[in-house]
Amino acid sequence: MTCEEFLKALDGRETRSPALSPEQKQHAGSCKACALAARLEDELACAPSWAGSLRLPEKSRARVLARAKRSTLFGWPPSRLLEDSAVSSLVMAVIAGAAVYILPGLSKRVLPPRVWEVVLSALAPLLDWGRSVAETFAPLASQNWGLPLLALALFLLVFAATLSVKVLGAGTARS
Amino acid sequence: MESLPDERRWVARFQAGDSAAFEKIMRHYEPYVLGLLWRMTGDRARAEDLCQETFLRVLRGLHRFRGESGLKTWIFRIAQNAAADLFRGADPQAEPLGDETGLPTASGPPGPAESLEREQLRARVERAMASLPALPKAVLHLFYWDELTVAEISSVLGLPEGTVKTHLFRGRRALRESALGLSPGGAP
Repeated sequence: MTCEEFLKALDGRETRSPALSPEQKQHAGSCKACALAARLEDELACAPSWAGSLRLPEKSRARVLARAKRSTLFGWPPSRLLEDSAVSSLVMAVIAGAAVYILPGLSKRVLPPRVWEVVLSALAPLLDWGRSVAETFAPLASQNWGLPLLALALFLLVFAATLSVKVLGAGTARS
Repeated sequence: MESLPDERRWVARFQAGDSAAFEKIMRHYEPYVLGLLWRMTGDRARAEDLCQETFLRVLRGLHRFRGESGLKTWIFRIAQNAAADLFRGADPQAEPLGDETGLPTASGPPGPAESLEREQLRARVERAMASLPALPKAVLHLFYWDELTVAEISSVLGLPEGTVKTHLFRGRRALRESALGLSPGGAP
C-alpha cells in the first residue's frame, strides 16, 4: 500500500470510526506521516468533547423563552391545532352541506322505489326532527345574510367541537 | 450528537401551547447550534447573536413543523441560513468575521505529556479549520463536531450528497495539510 492509497482511503470514508484495516495498520506502522494522519483522524473522531458544552448567555436565552411564552399564551401565530381544526371543520361542513342537499335527491334516483320507501320510514323520526329544526331557522334563513350567517354558525359549532377534541387529545398525550 | 429523545412529542406539546416544551428543545440543541455558528463566524459574540436569531426563527416556524425532516436537521438548516444571511452582505474574502482561531479546546484526563501533545494538535486543527473556506468548514464541523451523517449534512446545506462527500474528502485533505503540514502524497 502506498501513502497516496492510504490517505485516499482515509479521506474517502463516510464514517468517523478511526478503525483501520490490518493492511492500513501495517502501512501506518512503517510510515510516520501516515501514522500522524491516522492520529489526526482519531482525534477528530472525538471532536464533540473538545469544547465541552457551549451555552448562550442567560439573558439571550431568557429573551427567546419569553417570546416563546408570549407566543403560546396568545396562540399567535396560529398554532397547528387551530389550523388543523379549521381545515377539518371546513371539510366536515362541506360534506354535511353536500349530504343535506345532494343525498336525498340522489338516493331517490338511485334506489329502487320499494327500498326508498323502507329507508324513508326508517329515517322518519330523524327527518321529523330535521324538519322541526329547519322550521325554527326558516325565518332567519329568509332574511338577507340569513343563510351565510347560519353556515358560519354551523362552521363555528363544528370548529369548537373539533378543537375541543384535539386539545383534549393533546392534553392526554401530555400527561 | 444525540437527537432530542421523544422529539415528536415535545414538538406536539409546543404546538398544543406548552412553552416549556420549547425550552426543552432549545436547551438540547443550543450548544450544537452555537458551536456551528461560532465556527462559521469565528466570533463568539456574533455567534451568540445569530444563535438567538436562529431560535427566534425556530420559534416562528415550529408551529408549522410537520416532521417531514428531522428536528435536528431542520434547526441546523435555519442556523445555516441565518449565517448565510449574515455573509450575504459581507465580502467573502473577509471570512471569518472574527479573529478568534476557533472553538475552545478542553484538556482530557490523560497524563501531562500526552495531554499537552493532544492540546497542541487540537489547537492546530482549530487554526486550520479557521483558514478553510466556508463550505468545507461547515461540512467538516457538521460531520465531526455535530456527528451528522452525509445525508443529514446534505439536507442541512441543501446540497446533493455527492457534493457533500466531495467537500468532506477535500476538506479532510486541506485540514491535514494545514494542521500537520502533510502534502497529498503523505510527505511532510
